[in-house]
Amino acid sequence: MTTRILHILAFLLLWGFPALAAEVVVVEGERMAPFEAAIHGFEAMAGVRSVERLVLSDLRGADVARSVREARPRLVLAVGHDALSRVKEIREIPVIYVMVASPERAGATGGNITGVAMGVPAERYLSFIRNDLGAKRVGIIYNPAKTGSQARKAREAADRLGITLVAREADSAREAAQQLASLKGKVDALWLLPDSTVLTAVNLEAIALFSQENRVPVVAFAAKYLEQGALAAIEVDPADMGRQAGRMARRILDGASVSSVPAEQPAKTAMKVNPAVARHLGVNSLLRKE
Amino acid sequence: METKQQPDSPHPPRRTLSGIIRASFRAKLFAVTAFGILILSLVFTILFLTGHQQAEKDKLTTEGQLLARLLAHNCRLGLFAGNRENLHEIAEGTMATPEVLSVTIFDRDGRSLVHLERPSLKVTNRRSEFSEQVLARQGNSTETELYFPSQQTGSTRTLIGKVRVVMDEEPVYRHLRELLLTAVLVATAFLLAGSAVIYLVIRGITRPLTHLADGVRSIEAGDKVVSIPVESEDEIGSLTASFNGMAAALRERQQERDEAERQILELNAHLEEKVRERTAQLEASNRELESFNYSAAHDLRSPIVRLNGLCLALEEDCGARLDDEMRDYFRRISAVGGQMERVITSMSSLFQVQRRAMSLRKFDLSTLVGAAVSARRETEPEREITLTVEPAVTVCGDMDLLWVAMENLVGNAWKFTSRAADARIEFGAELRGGETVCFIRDNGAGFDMAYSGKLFQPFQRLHGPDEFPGTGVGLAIVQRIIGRHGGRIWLESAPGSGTTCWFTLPPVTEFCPPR
Repeated sequence: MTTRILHILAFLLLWGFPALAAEVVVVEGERMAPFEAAIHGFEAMAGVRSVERLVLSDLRGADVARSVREARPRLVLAVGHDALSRVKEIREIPVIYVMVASPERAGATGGNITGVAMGVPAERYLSFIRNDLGAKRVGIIYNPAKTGSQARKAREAADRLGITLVAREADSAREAAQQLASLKGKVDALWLLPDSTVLTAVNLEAIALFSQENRVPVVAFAAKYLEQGALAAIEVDPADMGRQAGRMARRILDGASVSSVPAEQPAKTAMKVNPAVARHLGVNSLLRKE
Repeated sequence: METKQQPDSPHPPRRTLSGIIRASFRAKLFAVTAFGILILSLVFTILFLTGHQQAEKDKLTTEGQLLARLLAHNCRLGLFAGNRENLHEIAEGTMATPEVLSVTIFDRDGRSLVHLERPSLKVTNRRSEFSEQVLARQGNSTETELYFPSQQTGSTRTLIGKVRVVMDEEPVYRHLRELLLTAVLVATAFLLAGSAVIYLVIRGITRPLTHLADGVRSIEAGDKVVSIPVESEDEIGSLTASFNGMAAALRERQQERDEAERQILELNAHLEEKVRERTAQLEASNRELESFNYSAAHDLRSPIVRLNGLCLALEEDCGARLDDEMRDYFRRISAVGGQMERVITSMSSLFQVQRRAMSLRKFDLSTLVGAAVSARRETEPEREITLTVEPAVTVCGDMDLLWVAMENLVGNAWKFTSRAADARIEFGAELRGGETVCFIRDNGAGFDMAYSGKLFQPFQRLHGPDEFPGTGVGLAIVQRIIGRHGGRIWLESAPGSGTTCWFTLPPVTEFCPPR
């Protein structure tokens, strides 16, 4: 890939024809199926002529921002948290992110940055919990340093929906486990936030155990937790998010200013249920829905 | 096993086990097989027990490892959260297994968080410990991994603690002891049953042999009618058949021999009777002959005496009237008469020697010889004879008969030394092989040993009557006397160098009373 970029650079320098530079540079955290799906969706919707891809895991610590600048694209697509945090210093080129859970934490504060956040709106979760599970008290455990903003949004949404949010803060995985124990008898449902401090392998087991012992359904944010005992997951679709980002890019490339294209939340979410867990917890309404 | 024991013997021979085994083929066979079974059942029992022990131990080990691993797995949450109650609960769950003696859960730094120990009455040394590390997987490191399944499979693990389970081995050994008891009982039962079966089988096999041995023994004891039933078709069976054949042949031979013996006995009896008959006939004819001899001698004597008397009367009455020629005839007639009288006297003395009853006494033969020589000297005092008599030769015999014998022998010596210049007569005795051998030796005329056989026959003479007078009956009388004493007599001589007459007499015993 590097040699290819060098070839392109040489070509550009020799010919002095900037019009031939790539229209879009895609910076990808690593090669993985969801990312690829998102990129394909993006390419399909943006309708750009030339796309350059930089994969961080292949570059191994090279100065990505500089590479991007040298490519002089019209737009940068950052796929994943890592990619966004590496290109956030670029101010002169519009940056669109996708597959990022918390853009704030990645440092996406510049006015040239917009995109599709991976987080499903808290209301979506809470209304599902309230309406489908009939839960009034919802427990969350979070590390303020990681998912503090999401917790804040959740609290706001809970207030709006009339749900009691029982929030516990944990600075370490061990503390998270202890906090989980303290939730016993105080919550009707447990909502998992995408917090890597909390969701360790051991804690996931503890959560599953907690769910089973106290008959507390667990709602997660990704389908992979269904296997680990979660009742339901509201999942995003990488390809659709890619298409969403593609539409945004098209608008920017067509001349719209970045500030006029606000960051969006996933337009399409999918609800997934573990029927076995549902049966064990007696949530028959979900089963019927399935 | 089948040896007959004499019930009447006061001290029956002590029968040791080794003695019985050595003596009986059946016992030997049985002992070897029983020993084999014993070894076999021992080996099987030991194999069974060791196999079982190994299996039990393996089971315990597997169980302990499994328990420790399970405990370690279950402890992760409690250890991670530092939740002692949770850990206690889990440990109690483990303690529910009866073999678990104690459960200890350590944290990452080796501090004991929970320690449960079963209150045990006795402390056993047989225990095994199982330790297992409690590992926890590292948490999600990237945001993406929170949402999507991780591609990296080998996620790193960290040590968060350690558990230790102590298992009691006592139940294993208890079970093993019960098993040992059962195994010993089963092995004993097997041994007994096996021995019984084998004994029966061996008895079945060796019974023909025992019968054979009994048969041989009864044959040895002299039983004639022995027949053993042939019970099998194997070697023993054929042996039994051959034995029966042999016994039959033996019986036949025995019968033949008995028959022969009976015939011989019969013949012998017959023969003896014949001998007795002949002897009686011979004795009768002997007696007849003797009485004829005696009467002949006696009856001939009186006519001869009368003839001699008549000759004497004729000489006294008509001697003067006879002329010289007639006187010569007359003298010759009276000489013949005298000779006839001497012959008849000798004959009668010969018969007397034979008919006379013996009375044995112990006496000094030397004195007897001396007396005989003295009597001779009186008849011919003019002869110069050197006499050597070994003194005190004591013998056992009839003195009257031996006097006759000695008189005859001395007379012979006296007679045959009449022409010797320096006449010597010697008497001696020596002990040869338990009997007394006596001799009378002279240095007289002697004779040719070729004629020695004739000398002991009556009326046989080597010299003419004009050379040395005599009737030829002396030595025959001597021989009969020595013979009647149970002795022997023989002569040693050469013409011109004297004669030695040897004779033996029975030794002096306590049955021989002194005179």
